[in-house]
Amino acid sequence: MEIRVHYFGMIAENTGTNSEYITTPQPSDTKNLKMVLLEKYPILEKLEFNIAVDQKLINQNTSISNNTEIALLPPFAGG
Amino acid sequence: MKNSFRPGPIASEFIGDAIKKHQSKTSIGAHDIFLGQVRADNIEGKEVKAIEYTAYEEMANKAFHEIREAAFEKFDLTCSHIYHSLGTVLVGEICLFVFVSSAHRKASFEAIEYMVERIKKEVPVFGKEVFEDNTHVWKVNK
Repeated sequence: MEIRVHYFGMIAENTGTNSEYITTPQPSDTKNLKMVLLEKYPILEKLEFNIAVDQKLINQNTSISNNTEIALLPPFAGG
Repeated sequence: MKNSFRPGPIASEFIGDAIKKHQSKTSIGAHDIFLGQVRADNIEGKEVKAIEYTAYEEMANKAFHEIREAAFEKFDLTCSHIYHSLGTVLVGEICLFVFVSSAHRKASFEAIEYMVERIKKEVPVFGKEVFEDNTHVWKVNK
């Protein structure tokens, strides 16, 4: 399955792109997506980030489908 | 969804105009304003000259909206506005403008602190602190 993944801040700097399609095994969830991403970008292991699924931060494994919007968000720095 | 982002620094004229626009709302007796200013932090001997802001804009605007809605529920407010910079903001310039209005002072005092604290914690805005030699570090809110 092809999932659109967005990267921000320090994460985008390390992936070298703001967004891309990532192929994940089916059924897809945030856990197996994270494994694919760590394999592609081993540096992510050392970086702090949270995952947003459809613009909501998640704190447990969450299933994802073709239309799901995923974002890797480094620590916030607003204000 | 209202867009709370503004390109570049928030000008003092913009802030002044925002105050002026509220003169016709005569039930207001108190305004409170929070301004975030880019600080010349010294990090390992190098001084910050600017912050370059980026954001997950759609999610951030939703978060700003939710924070304003929650403030209206908790406090007796007449108005509330949030503006945040995107792009480069130099040291000494304003990057965050939060503006609340109420009939009496207490609601405004309490609401502004509540909103600013939530903005710092919950809104996906990212800041690259750029030094004089153009190297950078990524800012993290404490």
